[in-house]
Amino acid sequence: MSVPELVTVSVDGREVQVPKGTGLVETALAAGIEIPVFCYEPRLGPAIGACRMCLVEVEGMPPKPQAACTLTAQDGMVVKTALTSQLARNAQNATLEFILVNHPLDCPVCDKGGECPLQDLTFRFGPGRTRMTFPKRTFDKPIPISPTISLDRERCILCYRCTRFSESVAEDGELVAVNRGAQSMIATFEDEPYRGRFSGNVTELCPVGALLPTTYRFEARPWEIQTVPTVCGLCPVGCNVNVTTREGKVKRVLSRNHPDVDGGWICDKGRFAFGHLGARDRIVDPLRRQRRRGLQPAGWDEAVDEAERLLRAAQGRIVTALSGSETVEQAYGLAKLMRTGLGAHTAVLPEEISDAVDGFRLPLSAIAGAELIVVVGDDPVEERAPIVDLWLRAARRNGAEVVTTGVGGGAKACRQLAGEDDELGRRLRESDRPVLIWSGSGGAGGAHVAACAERLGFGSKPDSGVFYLPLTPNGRGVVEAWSAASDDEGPDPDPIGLLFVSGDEAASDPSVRSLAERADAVIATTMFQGSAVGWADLVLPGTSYLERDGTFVNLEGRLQRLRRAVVPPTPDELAWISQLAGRFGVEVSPYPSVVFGELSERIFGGLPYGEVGERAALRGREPTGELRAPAPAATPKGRGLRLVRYRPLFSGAAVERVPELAFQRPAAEVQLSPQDARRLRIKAGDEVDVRSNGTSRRLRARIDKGLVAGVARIADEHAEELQATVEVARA
Amino acid sequence: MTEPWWISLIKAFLIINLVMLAFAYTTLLERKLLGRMQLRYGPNRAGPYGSLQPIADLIKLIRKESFFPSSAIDLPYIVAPVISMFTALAAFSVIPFGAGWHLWHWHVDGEIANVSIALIVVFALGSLGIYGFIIGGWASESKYSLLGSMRTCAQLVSYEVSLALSVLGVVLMAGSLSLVDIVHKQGTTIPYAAPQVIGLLCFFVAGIAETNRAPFDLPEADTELVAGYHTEYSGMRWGLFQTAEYINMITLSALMVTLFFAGWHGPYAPLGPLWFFLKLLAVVSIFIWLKATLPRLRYDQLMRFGWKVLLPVATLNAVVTAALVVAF
Amino acid sequence: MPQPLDTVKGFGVTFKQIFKKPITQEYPEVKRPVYPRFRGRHRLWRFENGLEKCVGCSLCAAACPADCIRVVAAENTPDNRISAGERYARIYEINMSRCIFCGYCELACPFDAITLGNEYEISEYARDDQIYTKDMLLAPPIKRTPVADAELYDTPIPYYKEHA
Repeated sequence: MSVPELVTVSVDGREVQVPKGTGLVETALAAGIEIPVFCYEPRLGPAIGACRMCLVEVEGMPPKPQAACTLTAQDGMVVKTALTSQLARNAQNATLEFILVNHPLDCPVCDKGGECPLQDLTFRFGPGRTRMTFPKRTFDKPIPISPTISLDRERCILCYRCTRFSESVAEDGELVAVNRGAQSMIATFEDEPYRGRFSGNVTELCPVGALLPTTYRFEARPWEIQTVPTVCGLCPVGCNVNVTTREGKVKRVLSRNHPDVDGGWICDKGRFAFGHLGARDRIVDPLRRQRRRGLQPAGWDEAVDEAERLLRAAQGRIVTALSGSETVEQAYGLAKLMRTGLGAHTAVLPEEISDAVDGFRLPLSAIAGAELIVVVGDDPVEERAPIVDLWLRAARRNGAEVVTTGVGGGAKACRQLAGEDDELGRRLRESDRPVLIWSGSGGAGGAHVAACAERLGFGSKPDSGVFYLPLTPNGRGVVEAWSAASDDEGPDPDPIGLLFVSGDEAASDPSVRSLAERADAVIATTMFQGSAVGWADLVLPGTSYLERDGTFVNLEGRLQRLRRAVVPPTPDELAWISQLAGRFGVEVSPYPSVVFGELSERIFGGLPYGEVGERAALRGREPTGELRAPAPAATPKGRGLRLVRYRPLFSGAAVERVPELAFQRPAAEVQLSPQDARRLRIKAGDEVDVRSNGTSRRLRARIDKGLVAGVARIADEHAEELQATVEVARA
Repeated sequence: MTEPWWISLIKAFLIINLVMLAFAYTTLLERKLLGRMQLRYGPNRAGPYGSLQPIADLIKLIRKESFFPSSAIDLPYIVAPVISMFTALAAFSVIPFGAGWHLWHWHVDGEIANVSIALIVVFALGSLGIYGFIIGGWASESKYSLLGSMRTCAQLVSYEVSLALSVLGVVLMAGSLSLVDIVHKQGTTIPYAAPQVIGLLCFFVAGIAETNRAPFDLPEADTELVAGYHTEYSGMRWGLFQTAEYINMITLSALMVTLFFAGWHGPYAPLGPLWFFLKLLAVVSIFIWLKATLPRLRYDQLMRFGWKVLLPVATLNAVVTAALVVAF
Repeated sequence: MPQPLDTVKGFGVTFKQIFKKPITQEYPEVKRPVYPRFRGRHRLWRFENGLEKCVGCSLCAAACPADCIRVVAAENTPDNRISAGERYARIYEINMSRCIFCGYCELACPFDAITLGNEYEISEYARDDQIYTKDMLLAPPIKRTPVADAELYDTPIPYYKEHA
């Protein structure tokens, strides 16, 4: 990489050298001078200079004040900000006065009060008195543009940050500015609700209290809250967040901006799903099955005794079903208990995990700089790891080409790509910065896509990358912890003496449930009553990612630190795992830092717990040796369509219990390719019956042009017991 | 006829109780009089005109936690206030209250014990009382207590001498050390306050210093020594020290009345105790008056005054009286 | 005057004082009137039509140096309108044992919803009783505190001339 050319700029008499092409706002910041801005946000694209807040006086340019955000540093530029220039000071004062002309006197009732850039800048640069004697323009307020966001048009200062986000970051085009001139206002098209996956980010972008989350309405003021920096644990990206709490309860979730992971954005699920902490059916006490009385609440001592009894009775024929959302420390503790204490080496995860892609590791932000991106797999990226979708869009805007292929047959597509005469494969070989992303099921933990990348020559290109998007937030971490607990192996138990289900995701998985039917006894750790109550013998209450202290490994392989934002109503899992382990002679500390210290020796290179860090770093590439792709699963031949299940973003135990997100829940529909729809004579919106081996569901049909023929795609929760091959017919 | 022993016993019992009662209401008198002199009411809530205030204080002290510092030396710590109390009360055994009465066929003396060297007994007991302070401060094992008790005892010992010397004049004039004789003599001649003005003044000033009253109450000044020898005492133990101090004051007032103001003599002889009581009241009120008016003396001023002024004056008074008595 | 005579004069002074009337004002039989702007127990005010002035903006809590005010706001619904703005204070508590009666909350309030009244007899036997809730603060004081002549100590806000 060439050394950037430096230019010298003088800001308020201070000389500073910056790389050529740096914006003037950053240049002034490098000189230690702050230029106030409203509409300037480099993540939203090129600066538009709409708000006129950053006016400075530049020598040599026309005598009127210039918007600093639109200028770039030139050699020999002399800039005077409000600190030294009366012109700039008057201009900024006037800008604020004009903004405040129609701004309502809402500060006492506005949620933004106390953390409002308009308030702060008015104090510093604005007029102390108003000269406005006319009635201000009014609107109906507030308007809910979605169940999660409310719009207050009176407060809007028309900086267009929200519309630029909607247009150039999320690219959903839902929030637009309508009318012109003095009648401009922000609206959604035809007053439809803002239905998208990233709508919540506009509430963080908005510099005034115009766009605010409804979940936080009137909840707290900035001086009454505490902020806890942690990491979201709902999807494998692991966006860095700041959790706002008041009086021991989570009130909202904001982005903490890790430039390499999330770029300062979080998806709506991570932002609004915290309500599940206080769900009505949350289990707080252990439940024990008693004969003829069903599940009854029990004390913790009783519960641990019962767990010990069940574990001993199983005589080592124990299967652990993990859900991939445990922290590394919890998984390690459980693994130690099971593997070294009980000799039960079998664990079940919702998907296969492997470290195959570690040899092609890149931070997520590198996607934005890639040249050619190929997405393989049948889950849309925005359902699995939404932020990756934002990075893909950013890449597209930067000129990269994004190709989606292999929907319905990812492994086959991988083989094809690696083959000799594939057009796309050739382009991947030629490109300098190619990226492969696997997003779907059946990926063998990334083995397919890694083998493909190896054959395409990614190993020799340091800017190439491979990403495997797992289903679980901490699958990598859990598997690494499980394997690190012991080196022994053991046969799969048959018959299963005890099934230990850890986590709500595992408890709601149909395959785990079928395992449970084969097992003699079941212990389950869940947060909610809907998940495991009914078929478990002992239910231990679980905690959420917001209530745990520990580490997660995200899809890049980055180790990130979770911090406890609120105290859970039940003890942390490590507490009773360590108690149980003690009864079997295994030492597991109840403190995550100690457990991590033990584990870190083995797999994280001795990294101390306290150094996992606020902006966690990404380890370098770790090639894993010979990569072999397992044979792709045989597609069952049968009449009808192959069923592809995918897990939509807004599904899962947590989201189900948040009423504000109910409008985002996936509709009961089946997606068909245009060819199949034509063949079956089904039109979009028709009611269809989907039948498979005895079960049948009534769903609505939707045509998806991206699907290959022969595949029907249904959301996981609507396709509960359908088998791999389904028949679709008009109802 | 001497009185039977059991009458002495009853008298002792009565005197002790009356003295304790007097102590209690002296505290009330002090507070109310002090208040009035300072343009305020004294305690006036605890009973009509605050008359139940001493009872309230007593109950409070009894209910208070009498803590025992862990570093204090057990036996001396407990015994010290007892010594002070005992010696203070014991002085009343030789003070005559009346001329003596006939009750039925028994003779009742005006005093509990007619000792021929009564004055020396009183002074001896006073000196013994100092032990209580020394032991109390020392056994508390605390800096302030030790310093406070050292200062107190130095002060008391210094003024002890002047006290003794100032009554020499009275003794010389009366020709006896027995308090009963001195009172009798004053009855026949003249209350010795008149001829022995200087002696009276010396006795009074030395007496104030002996009882740690203002303006000689440095050992009690909180800002100087926290609370001096009774820093580490609380609850009823402190109450005992306080009682000892006030009873010392009453004893001294009684002594002054006996030596200089003709004791129980008054218009109607059998009512001797009443006259004694009235004179006692007056003297105690003067003590209180002094407390209200005068600021505290600094320790070095106090010591200098005791040794360089009071002692020579008392000695001089004794010598001159002796000369005059011999001459006439 | 030479020194000993001065002292004797002092004795005379103390003696004379015995016969003068003490200047003690015996509370609680005699209560000294407070000035009109005396900072006593807080009061939350309403408008004439019964709507509360407080909108739950929590500026008083922000201004409070002792951090003794707790405000939790809620939305006014059309059928349950409590305050005159978009929001009202659902929970409004002041911990009187922490309060230093500085009056900063009164200064900070943009709606004149909270002022410090004249009541100062607010002792309780238990710490928990010292947490005053919203209805306790809305209520007028139980006993009227005597206030010094308002005409004499004029305040520029006519409203407070009648309402002590």
